[in-house]
Amino acid sequence: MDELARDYADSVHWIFIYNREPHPDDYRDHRAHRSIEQKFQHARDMRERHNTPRQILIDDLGGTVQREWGGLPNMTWIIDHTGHITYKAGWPVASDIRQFLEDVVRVRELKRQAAESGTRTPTYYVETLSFGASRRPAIKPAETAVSVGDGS
Amino acid sequence: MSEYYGKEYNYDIFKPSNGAFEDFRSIFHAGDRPPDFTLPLLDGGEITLSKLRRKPVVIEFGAIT
Repeated sequence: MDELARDYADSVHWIFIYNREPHPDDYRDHRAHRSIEQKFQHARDMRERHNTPRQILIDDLGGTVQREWGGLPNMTWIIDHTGHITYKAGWPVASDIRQFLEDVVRVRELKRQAAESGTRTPTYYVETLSFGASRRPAIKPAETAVSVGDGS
Repeated sequence: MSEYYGKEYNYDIFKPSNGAFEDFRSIFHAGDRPPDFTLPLLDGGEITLSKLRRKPVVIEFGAIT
């Protein structure tokens, strides 16, 4: 995902919302957050560990934004330039997101050309399921997640 | 909403049987305008979703563990 964020740094805003630790009992150094200061510190640890270029936002201690947006620990959403949701995923499959972003950039150019020529560009609704190969959450393993059928 | 909010996370909350996935599925969808938010940046300042203009926004949620 870090590679994706770098590749699309000029064409998308990319933000990472640090939320609750989903498996705190597995990691002695990163137990469940007891204060907002501790949450900030864990987020710094994450950035240091992964050297991620993504802008990191910190949800409040109760996870208000995470709860409003569906409650899962590793959601990925893409909002288009008009403020509407165009992509919704419960797990960050990097190859899917890359493909989608390629389409977003391509379609924006097609829409611009269509607007100039006065033609219509219809929108289609597609709902699908995808399958990540990575079992573990956190940001590092997600980079190696693959989709069924992508040939990897 | 599920009953796990406010408790410590563990693997159990991610089982489909506890309803967490259903919360995600039934919440807003592609084509909807999502709720706005303002959150602090790790290094100071803040970002408001609705103020991010002209380009698509990728929003990831995540943590260390």
